[in-house]
Amino acid sequence: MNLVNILEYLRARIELLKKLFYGFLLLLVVFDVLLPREHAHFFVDKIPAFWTLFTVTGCFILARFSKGLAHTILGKKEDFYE
Amino acid sequence: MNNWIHPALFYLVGALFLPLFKGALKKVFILLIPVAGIVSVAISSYGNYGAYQFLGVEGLFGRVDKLSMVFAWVFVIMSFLGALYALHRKEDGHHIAGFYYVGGSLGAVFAGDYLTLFIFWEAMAFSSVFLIWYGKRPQSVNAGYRYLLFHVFGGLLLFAGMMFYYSKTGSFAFNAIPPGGASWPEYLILAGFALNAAVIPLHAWLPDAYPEASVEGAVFLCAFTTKTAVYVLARGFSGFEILAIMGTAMTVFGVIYAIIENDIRRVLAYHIISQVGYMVAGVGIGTMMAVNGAAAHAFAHILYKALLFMGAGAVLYMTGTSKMTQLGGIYKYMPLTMIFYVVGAISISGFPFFSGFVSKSMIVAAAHHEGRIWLMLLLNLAGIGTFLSVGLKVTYFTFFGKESGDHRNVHEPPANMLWAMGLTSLLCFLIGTFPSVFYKLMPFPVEFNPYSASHLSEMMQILSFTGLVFYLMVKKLAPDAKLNLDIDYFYRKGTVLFIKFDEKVIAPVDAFWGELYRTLGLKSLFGTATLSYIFDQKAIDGVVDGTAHSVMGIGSIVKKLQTGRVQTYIGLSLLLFFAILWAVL
Repeated sequence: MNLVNILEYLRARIELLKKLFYGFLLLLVVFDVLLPREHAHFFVDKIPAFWTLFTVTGCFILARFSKGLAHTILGKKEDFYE
Repeated sequence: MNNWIHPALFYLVGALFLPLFKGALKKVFILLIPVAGIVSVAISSYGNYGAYQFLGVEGLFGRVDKLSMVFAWVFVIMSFLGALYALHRKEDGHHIAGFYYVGGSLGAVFAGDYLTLFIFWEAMAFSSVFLIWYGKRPQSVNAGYRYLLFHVFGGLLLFAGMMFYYSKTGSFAFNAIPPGGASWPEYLILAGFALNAAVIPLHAWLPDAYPEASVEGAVFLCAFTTKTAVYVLARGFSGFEILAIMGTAMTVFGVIYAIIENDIRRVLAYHIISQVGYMVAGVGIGTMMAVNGAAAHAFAHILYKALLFMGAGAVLYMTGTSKMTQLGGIYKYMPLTMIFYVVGAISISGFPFFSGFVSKSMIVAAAHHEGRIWLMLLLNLAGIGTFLSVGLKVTYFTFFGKESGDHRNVHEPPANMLWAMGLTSLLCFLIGTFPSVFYKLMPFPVEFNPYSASHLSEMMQILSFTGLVFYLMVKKLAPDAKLNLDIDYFYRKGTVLFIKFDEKVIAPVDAFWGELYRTLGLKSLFGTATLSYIFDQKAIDGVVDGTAHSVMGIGSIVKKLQTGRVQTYIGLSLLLFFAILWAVL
């Protein structure tokens, strides 16, 4: 099928896609740093690239915390209630 | 009802005629019911219709205003998409349950008083449970009963609340309650509503029941119950601070579970709690922008969450499993399903040009606008978790990643399912790309531009860097074939504990009591029995025997007179005659 071929084509060029993705991330940070901030009231608006910092730390903590819960107190065998 | 036909009427009455049709005609009829619903909503004009009197109480069937119309619109659209997705189902009962569920939701949304609301509220619970039972597995049956019990409990909270409210105010009218004037009758009503909105800790029924529903039933379930609850909260309890806090807590709670669950439908079910949390928080913040955001998000959410459940359902329908540990790499066999699921995933995550971008951000912006920075940060953290779980984790481990299990014979689902997913995808795209039409539906005038440079920058950073973290942590985020405990532990294990309590406490007490009775009770009983025996023999029998002896004495005299000769009898009779004659004279 056509759609599948396109996806296979892209997967074969994953290294190039990764480079494009990193380039895009850099562009986003630069774009945010250059945004005008004269109307900023709160620290979330004042700090340049705040949402990059927030996302990287927040996402890492959220993932580790959730998985940590699952691996300690929450996770049980699948037939736990049966 | 002069110029307004209640849209629920088409669903409640129409469904009854369903068994009369066969074959292709039945399918046409199944689609005609929601079409009639859409038309009746389209031609509705604002006003109050269907006022009635019942036992001296004033009721109102149809309060048609901007707020009720937002929800009515999305309910009728969703009923069409859901009916299309379920078109291949043979059982009439499944379709009828679905239509009664939609009819109940529409009735609740248009209800102007608590009595009418309560009736439709219960109709929703009792029709939707069949969609869970149509899952047809033993777990579905059990989960359905737990779902029903939970909702009966919620209905009782609402009922008790509205009765106390009536005795307090003398009215059943369902209007906005000012946060300052609320006391416990209002809070009871709020608790009843909150249970249906899956506000923690009253949420456990949702991830317990929805993943056990039928493939098609789950598409209906994810749309109506929680969003009807959001409507009634927006109508009655806007500006209640507790909702702002609980809603925000729900957004984070839902994504934590969505990150660790293994079954796609469980991920999505937990994620409903997170998404409804945004709406509840919007209602709690209570400004015009925030309530607009809650209504807009409910509208957008119904469509993309249904789309995600359709995608997950298609995978389950075709492969027989929805557990990510048994899937992987199936994009080759179901590429269209994958594309549609991804549209749902990027809509829910808030990608530009898709619906979440223009709805969720209104609530976040309202929190920002009010200076509630902590709420805003947590809402955005939940946004990160959304893209991480529903967007990246499910897409990667289901459609890409390592193939687990043999799915080579799997192909795309039936055409009606694909069409339903395609149409829903289109709507998600249209709402996100042309928000001005969508914003016109909202209860208050919308002064919000989602495509500002700062908002675009904020969302693109959040989404792209979540992508980066997922890429770096992908091995750590792989799903585990495990069950995760939740609040339902207490009532599911609670019943087991009760049985243990019965064995260990109630049964021994019962046995001890029995023993006590045997030793003390029976002995005293035997004692009294002996006494009464003696009394019987000596006293009663004495009297009775005495009488018997005298009767026997007379009998022996009479016996001597009975000689058997007729002359003696005549002689005795004459003697008796003269004796009487002598006595009388």
